[in-house]
Amino acid sequence: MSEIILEARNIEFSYMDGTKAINNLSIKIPKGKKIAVLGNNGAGKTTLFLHFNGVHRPQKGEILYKDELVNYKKNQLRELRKNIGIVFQDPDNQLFSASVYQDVSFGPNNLGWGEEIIRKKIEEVMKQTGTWDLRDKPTHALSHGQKKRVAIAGVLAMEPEVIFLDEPTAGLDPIYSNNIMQLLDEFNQGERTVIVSSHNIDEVYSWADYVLIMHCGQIISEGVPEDVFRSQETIQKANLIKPWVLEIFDYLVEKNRIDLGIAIPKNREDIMKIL
Amino acid sequence: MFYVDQYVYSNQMRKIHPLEKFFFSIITMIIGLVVNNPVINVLIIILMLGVLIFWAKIPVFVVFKMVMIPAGFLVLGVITIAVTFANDTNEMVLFIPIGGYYLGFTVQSMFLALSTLLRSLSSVSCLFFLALTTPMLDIIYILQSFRTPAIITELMLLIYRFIFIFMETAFNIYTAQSSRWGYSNFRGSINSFGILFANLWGKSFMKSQELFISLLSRGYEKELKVINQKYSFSFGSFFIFVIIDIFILIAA
Repeated sequence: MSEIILEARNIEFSYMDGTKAINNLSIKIPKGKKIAVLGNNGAGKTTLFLHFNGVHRPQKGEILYKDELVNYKKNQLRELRKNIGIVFQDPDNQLFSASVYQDVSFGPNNLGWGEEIIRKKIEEVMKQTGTWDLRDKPTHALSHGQKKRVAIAGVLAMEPEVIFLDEPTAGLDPIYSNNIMQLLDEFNQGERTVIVSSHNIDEVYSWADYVLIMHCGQIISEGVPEDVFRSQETIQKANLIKPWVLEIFDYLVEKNRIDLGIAIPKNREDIMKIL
Repeated sequence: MFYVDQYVYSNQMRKIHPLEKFFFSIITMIIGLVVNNPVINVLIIILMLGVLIFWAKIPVFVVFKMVMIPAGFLVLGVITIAVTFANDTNEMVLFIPIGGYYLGFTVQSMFLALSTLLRSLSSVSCLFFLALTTPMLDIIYILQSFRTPAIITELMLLIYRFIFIFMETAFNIYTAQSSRWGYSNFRGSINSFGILFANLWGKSFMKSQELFISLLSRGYEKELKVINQKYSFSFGSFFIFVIIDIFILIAA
């Protein structure tokens, strides 16, 4: 197996009102992959990621970053938060400044880079996310999708090694959600790990090369999408459905319409070729 | 209030360095206050509103609406200066007798009231010049460049941002309530408004918690460190500002 960048060992976490968000969970996050996390609302996806960048501290168990135990000392926390970026689901909770430019500058500024380097970086990520033309606009004049892209730019600007995006495409037009997934592919090219939580099974199936299924604060299944989505038990337990591409493929196999030697299709184009 | 904010962001003088606009506004205001001459005050009002309408290209009705708000209060205020109370009708232009005394206007009191009104209006128009050409963030930048404590400027930044989120949330709750007949009668309206208000508190608290978490995960440590876009200083606008002030001084 490839190099492990983040690891959780038997962690447990409850919120102050007593809800158990994470329940004896262990997971290894491989480096440089495109990972998707699926699960119900309230399955603990966001909570898990707040553990990985040191915002939450597990009540039991431990977190490892690059095989090193996280000890929650100030310097290490800073290092952790620089390298593990989180893009939150609601951009209004993340964009604190009324100026788009200021908001993107916040992360790199906290890293203590020089001003000129920061300005260059801001321009680079804002052009990447297609938000450079919005830099003069106040945050409250942006649409939901634009705010989301600004929020992504604000995290990319810190050059994290791992970026976790909480439902990056929820509530976006299909074109924009494609753009965002492409952007994440580009980001992944540079050996970085991209983790996405999503409810869109078809999107996840064709995009991800590793899938985690969460349920009630635990990881009930992990592996390559072709395997995970074929387990009827897992899919039912987590209230998911089979991706349509896989469903059609399995149907064709069952009816002996195609040779068994054909590679499992990943997306619309693949299955069209088979048909 | 919110559409005024839009005009501020789209005005033609937005790109001018905030400090240039700030000093122009303040110096002109000081001239208007120090030189005790109503004609100069009228000149300042005309120049300031003229700059707003013809240079910043803010629609005339917006400018006048803005000026009318304080003007209403000022007129009411200066009436009390114009009215005098005496036991004879000497010098009084208009008066009504009350018991053995007289309530009325004298030429001096009316002049004093008028000059006070014009002085206030000229100061107000200088402030409106700043308020309508300089977005809130640039005003925060001005305060920062005068070494205002970070706690004040950070609070201003967050409050300004959250006014809009707060309004949006309130509006969404209102829409959801009225689409289910929440405001169809008086009793219902009172009840719905109570629920709206209570929910706003809860939601604001949650929002602030979530914002704090998201700031933490971007490395927040006690201070909102940000950088602004670079403002460019332009000699053109600076030159025009100086000429306007010199013109006012010569006229004085």
